[in-house]
Amino acid sequence: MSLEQLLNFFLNWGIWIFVPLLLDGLTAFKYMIDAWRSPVLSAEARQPLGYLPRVTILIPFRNSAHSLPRCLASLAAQTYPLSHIHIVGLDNDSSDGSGRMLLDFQTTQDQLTVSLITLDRPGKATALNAGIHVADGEYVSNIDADTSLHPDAVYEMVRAFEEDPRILAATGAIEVETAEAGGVMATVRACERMEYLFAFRVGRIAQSEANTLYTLAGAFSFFRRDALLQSFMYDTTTVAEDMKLTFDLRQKAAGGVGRLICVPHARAIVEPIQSWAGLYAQRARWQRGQVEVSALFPEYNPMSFWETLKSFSGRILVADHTLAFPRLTWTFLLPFLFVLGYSLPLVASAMAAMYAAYFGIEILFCAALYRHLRHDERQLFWRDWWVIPLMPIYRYVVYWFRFAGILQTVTEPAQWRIQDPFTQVKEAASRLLSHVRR
Amino acid sequence: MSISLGLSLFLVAWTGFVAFLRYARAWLLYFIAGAVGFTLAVVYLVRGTAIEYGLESLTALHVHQVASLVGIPTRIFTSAKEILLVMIISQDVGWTAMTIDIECSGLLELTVFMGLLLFFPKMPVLRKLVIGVLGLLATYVFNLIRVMAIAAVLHWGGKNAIFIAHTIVGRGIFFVCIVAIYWFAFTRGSLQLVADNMKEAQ
Repeated sequence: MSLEQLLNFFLNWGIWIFVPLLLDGLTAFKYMIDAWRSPVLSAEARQPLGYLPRVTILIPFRNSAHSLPRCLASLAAQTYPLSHIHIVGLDNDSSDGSGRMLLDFQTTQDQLTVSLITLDRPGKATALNAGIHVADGEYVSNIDADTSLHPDAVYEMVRAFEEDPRILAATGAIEVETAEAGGVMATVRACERMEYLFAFRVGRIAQSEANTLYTLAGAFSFFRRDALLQSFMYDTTTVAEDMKLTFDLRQKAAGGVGRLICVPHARAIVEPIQSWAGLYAQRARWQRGQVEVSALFPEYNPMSFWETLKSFSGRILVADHTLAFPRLTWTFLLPFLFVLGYSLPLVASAMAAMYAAYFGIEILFCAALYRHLRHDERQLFWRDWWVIPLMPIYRYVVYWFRFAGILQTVTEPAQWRIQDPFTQVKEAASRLLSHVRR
Repeated sequence: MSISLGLSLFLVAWTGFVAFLRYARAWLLYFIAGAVGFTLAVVYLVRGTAIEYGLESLTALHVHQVASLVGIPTRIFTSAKEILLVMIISQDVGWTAMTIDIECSGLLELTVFMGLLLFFPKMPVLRKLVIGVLGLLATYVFNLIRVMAIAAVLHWGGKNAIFIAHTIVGRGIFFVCIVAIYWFAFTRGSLQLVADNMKEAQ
């Protein structure tokens, strides 16, 4: 087997798996360059805020008694003056006393203003819209009930907005909490933590620089209130209300006046994924959201392939949606080529080369990431560095979960909870058996 | 193409399995089992048969015809089986034999596309039929363009350009064209369907 044969096989057949990887690689390379070019400022080097505007923080929740106290405690621990913060709890018809919990929290606070709005139906988008109408702050933020903020998060956000009046909205840097888990789940969670670090400390930083931010995180985002009121607010027809709002605001910013950014040092911590089924449901939902929002914005995803390639959102859709199809079959067809007469060492070497290329891309991401972490944040990287060789496998698993979302978008009505395929098969088998028995 | 008893039983079991996954609405598993199973089965069954040779010789013939139109001299030998699929391209240094085999015939790409389209859920049959016919034709034509590009690079670049011609230029052109077909068939189709569904839901 010569190198030329290997390259020929790799590029001839492996191209269907290799090109999505190549796009990832180019993206990683671009991110790395952008991250290298963008300034890294330590917190100490920056001026303190002279003007402290009022901030309204919206927390939609439904049966969140287990996580809400920690979220509220993190707000009470903010370094931003608490007298300038108004917390609005949005109770989506909870039955576990979460609303009561918020009122109890109110009695313990002498500086924070705390309000509660109770809605008679579920729906995060509906709750957030109700909250926006009562928001009295110059800035409005939304936080999920299972999210807690780093003590400087609100301060860092306000500082970013005050320093640049063009900013309409910003996403915080979401991190995944370290939590005890055994076996494979411990590794999956470590991969998830690393994935979030890459996504928010590299990917979104580069998108911020290019003013092409794709999604404001639903877990923690910040808005100029006026910009929010001039948008269509949160859409109730899609499962990706955060992405829809991002697209709305991006359209508003299209004239070049406004900016959407990620504030990397406004840190928020979310709970880790609980199970494979949870990861599956989350990623399938995200993918569904991408297709739904793309369908709602034909101007970003025009009906011509070449036009699509010209737009940033279009290129992301081609990479995430279009290329996912050939990748699916070729994953299985590539090893099958051995049956068709290709030598086993050739097929195995091509697959090993594929992994090596993916691993190389992760190293590129690491280089960009490390550069962008502040000295006190670098422990986040060193905590999980050992999963880097496993990241290509993790991303490949996630690819399958996202593919499920692609299919569900056209087959099933939108729903927050999604059943994993193995449970579906188990339940279908028992239904079938009970039919047979009858 | 003969199908053994074992293979027939496997095909029956595969059909039942795919039908069950559809009943379970486990769409990911259904799509993998359906599209991948279809592709592997067709490729396995067609490999080395008259269908494969027919496609390869048809590709060679069409490339030969188009090449002569653009002034690249080529020849095809159809009298001897071992050189049935050989197209020869003139250069300064002589002739280069270019075998149109499974790699150049587009057979795998055609089968992969058919498998994905056949098992893509919720697409109306008529739309599937139209996209299927257009997609297969376009894949075939794009493959001809690819082989023509290889022939052109060889013709003007010589034998040493074979790697660049075959693996870089040919594959690059083909890949972009095929992605355009997939975008039209799956992405554009999905966006239209989802947009309609969301309008209905409002």
